[in-house]
Amino acid sequence: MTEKLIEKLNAKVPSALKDHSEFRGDTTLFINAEHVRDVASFLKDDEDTQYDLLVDIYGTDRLKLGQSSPRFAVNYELYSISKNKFVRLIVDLVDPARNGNGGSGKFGEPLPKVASVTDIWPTANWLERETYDLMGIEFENHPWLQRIMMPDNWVGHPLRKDYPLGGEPVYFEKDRNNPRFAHLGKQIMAGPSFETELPEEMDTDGHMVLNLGPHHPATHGVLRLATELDGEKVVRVTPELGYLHSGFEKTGENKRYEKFIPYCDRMDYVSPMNNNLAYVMAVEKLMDVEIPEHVQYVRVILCELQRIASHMIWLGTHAMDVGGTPHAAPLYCFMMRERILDIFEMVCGARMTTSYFSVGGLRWPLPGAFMDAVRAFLKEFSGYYHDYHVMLTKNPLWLSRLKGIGILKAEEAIALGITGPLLRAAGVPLDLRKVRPYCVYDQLDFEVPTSTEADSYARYTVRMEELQQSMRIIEQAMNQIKPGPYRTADRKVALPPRHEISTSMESLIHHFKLVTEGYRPPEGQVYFIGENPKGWLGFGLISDGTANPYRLRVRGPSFVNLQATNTMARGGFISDLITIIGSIDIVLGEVDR
Amino acid sequence: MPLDYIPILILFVIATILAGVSLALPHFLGPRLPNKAKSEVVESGKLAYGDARRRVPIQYYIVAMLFIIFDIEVLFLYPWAVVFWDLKWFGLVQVGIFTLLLIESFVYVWKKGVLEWE
Amino acid sequence: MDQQLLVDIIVQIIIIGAVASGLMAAFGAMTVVERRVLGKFTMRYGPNRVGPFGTLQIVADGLKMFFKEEVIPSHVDRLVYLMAPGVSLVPALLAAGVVPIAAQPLVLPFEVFGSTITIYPWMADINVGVLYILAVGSLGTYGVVLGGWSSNNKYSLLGGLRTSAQMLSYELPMGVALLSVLLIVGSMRMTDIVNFQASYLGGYLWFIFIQPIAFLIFFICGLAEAGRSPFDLPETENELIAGFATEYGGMKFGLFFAAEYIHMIVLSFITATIFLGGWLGPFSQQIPVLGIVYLLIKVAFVLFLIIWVRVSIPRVRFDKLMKFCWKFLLPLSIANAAVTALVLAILFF
Repeated sequence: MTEKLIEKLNAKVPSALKDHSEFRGDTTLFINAEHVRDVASFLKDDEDTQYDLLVDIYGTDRLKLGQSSPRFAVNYELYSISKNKFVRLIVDLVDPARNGNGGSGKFGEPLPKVASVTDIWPTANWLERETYDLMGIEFENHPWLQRIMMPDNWVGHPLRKDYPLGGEPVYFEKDRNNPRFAHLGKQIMAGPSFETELPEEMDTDGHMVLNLGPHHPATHGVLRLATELDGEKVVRVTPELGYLHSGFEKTGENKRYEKFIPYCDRMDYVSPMNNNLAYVMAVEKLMDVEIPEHVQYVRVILCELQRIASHMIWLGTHAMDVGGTPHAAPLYCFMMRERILDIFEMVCGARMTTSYFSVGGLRWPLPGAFMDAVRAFLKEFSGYYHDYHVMLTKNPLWLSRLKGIGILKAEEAIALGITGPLLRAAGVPLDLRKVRPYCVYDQLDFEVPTSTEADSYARYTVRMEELQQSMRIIEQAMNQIKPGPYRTADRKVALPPRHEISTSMESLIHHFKLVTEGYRPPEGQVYFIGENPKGWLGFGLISDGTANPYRLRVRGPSFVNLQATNTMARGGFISDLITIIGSIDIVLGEVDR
Repeated sequence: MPLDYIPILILFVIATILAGVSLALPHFLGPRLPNKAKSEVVESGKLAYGDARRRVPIQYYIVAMLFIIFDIEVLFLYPWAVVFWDLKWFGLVQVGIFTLLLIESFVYVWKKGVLEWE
Repeated sequence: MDQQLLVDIIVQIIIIGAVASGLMAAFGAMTVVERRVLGKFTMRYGPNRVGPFGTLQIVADGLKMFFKEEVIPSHVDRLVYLMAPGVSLVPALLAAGVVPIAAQPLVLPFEVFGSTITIYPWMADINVGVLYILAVGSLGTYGVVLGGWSSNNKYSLLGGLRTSAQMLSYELPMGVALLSVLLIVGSMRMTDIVNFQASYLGGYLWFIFIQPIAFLIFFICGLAEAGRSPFDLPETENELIAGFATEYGGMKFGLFFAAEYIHMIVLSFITATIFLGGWLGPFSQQIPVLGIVYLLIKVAFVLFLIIWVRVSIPRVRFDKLMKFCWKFLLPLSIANAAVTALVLAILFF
């Protein structure tokens, strides 16, 4: 397959392909920078490839990699829905600031340039902005290349390897001349609450431009939607992010692989188990670790419980957005989520930040009462599940608020890189658990609910049906699960059992090595995607053979899905905008990461 | 008859005093810690783009006009309701004609699409 | 001046003062009751810490309101901004003026300064009672609109505009729905309406039974008039933060809040009086005190209904709300009144 692709690519766009490689099943094509757009259009439109879904764009700074190749690279992760294939493009970029170190992208310093692919895959818009903001790579002909995470007047690009770690505190202008801070860095911000730049096409004079958020009840956190209103009609919405930017990628690059797991919990904090799973499986993919079957089942059960919990938050807050704060549904949902959190607490002692999965297995074996607790939960939940339907599904007011609101057709959704329930509600049965089963999803019988309506109500029904399927998966997994080891026997990855340490010298050495140094995955680059409740959560890892990842990339589903707000909300009422935000189901911890 | 309305006047005065006292008391009881941020316009924590006093959609004016027209209709119907039992068929037919005229204009307004909120 | 008249007026002032403050207290009580009931509906406790069963929460909340800092934003139209909460509260209280709570005045069995003291179970029994209620009810719109406009805030403006359109529109079906009741009674006096219900079927010919459609329309419009869920579009905390009240804090917000709740309480009284037979019930004609108890039970029931609607029904979108009023409620109420008039004419003329 890869050979055929390369042959055809060479025929269509000669001299574009520099090299290609295979690692852990990931195909990588190295592309010359000047041919990016040609290759992109070829891969998207050619009927043998049809890479219609742009999963991710991220930059790499090879400064400390000691390679002779150019300093910067842009990675494109592509997926073909019809062919069920992934491919990665890597475009090398020379640093025009040239001298290698010291060029941390200060104002006026030339940035490496590459052509934007926004018109080929519209989802590239935000991804390129993010890469520009954090890595300092300029995308030519991008419609609005603005910083997306950092403040507009930030100096430097934090994900570059020569960007100082710490010691770069932020001051407000009033402290600019304070000698107390003279010894520290030079980030000087204008005072709080200045007007943020808007895209040029927004009309602040003729229309009313209303800020929804960051402090707004319906934006689910610190999201800001600059909304252009004509009366009560929404003309245009510009989401602004970055109020919660916590720099997980940079943090991860300075921690050992294992130590990043607790950070995953805090990204999409309503589905930590799924985040853990995606990250842990990315590392396992990088190291090629064999995972015992028992562990796989436990992971599936916990992740599906988490999916239910996450959907409970979605349903509750959605009902609250649409129905008003005192509506009964939110607390009915939160109550069931509490039950799941109780189970998590029993499993790992934490309710929200679980960190229960570790590379190579589970952190501890399951407690004995786990199975009974889950069974009791399923029994109780199916009753409540019925209640939710009674409360909302047929309610005429609920229907009138959701039906036909926020339509996002399949083509638009794919172009915008939408995944998860939003895409399935548009009629595309794309569920990684089904098309590329990981863990033991291939041994479980479940359906991928879809709908053709593509409106908010379709998203509602799809998610409600997913709850049902999750219950089915858990039930089957509970019947199939067999006792077994709770982590891999690979001593290079997982700690040896306690009793072996006192009897076996080798085990003691492994233990010592793992605790003091961590494991060292082989050099290479992998990308693993998990099917999270909100969509695809992707983790990209570039290893340089040390115990820390050289580059850690996180693709948050909420971040990408949020881009569709404008498409969905245009032309609707301001009330519909609230419904739409609720039906996208975002978590700002993950949007801003 | 005007005597019947004296209690309403008393109620009005008492209600006004009640409202006034409630509004005035915090002025003397509450603390006073003004700052710039507090006196700024609330727009979800950002500076507002432009003033709030601007053109509003025409639909609101239309609703107000329709209200005036139809509320007067109701005002005419109320006295008739009181003398309904005295006027018998005579009143019923007359009010019926009046109402039909209004319904006709209502249908016109409806067909014109004024009631659509676009 | 005639001494009897003077004493009457003094008694009136005392009673009206008591009722007005009673309504304010009822507002406080209602906030706590509502939170408790909402809590029960949504499987939580509600306020239960301050005093027995959280009853002293009223005092805590009230004191908090008075002792809050008075913040007047710099960009507002000061006079109108300060006036608006009062303009909102006064009509809400005024509407209570014509609600009767019992059939007969109570004449005290002793004389003071040589004058008899009569305690009327109503503040004013005027011959245009129903019209008065409607008129005063629509005055409440002013407070909200002025508040929304003077705040110079986009959320307030949108909230104020929505409110004005909504309250005005729902006024119409409400009026026409009441018309079908008035046609049957032939009087706009509130006491006449109750007495009519008392005079047939042994006091059980309540208008909810003869005019169920009018009752439903009246109840729905009442919710919209008081700005209660699912028609709480003026506030819509999930869209417009707090709508017209966004720039208000402390007692100024408290008065808006009070206006909404008093509106709701008075509305329940009116509903109970016009449609649920007021003080009528078993033995109420023999023991008048029982009548007041019945009335309070009916009022409590209506209030409970309003809260129940709030927890179980999602909010209506604004344009649908207007369409629902103009294209459904108004034609329906006109048809209801027309059918009532025709049926009455055919049967009794």
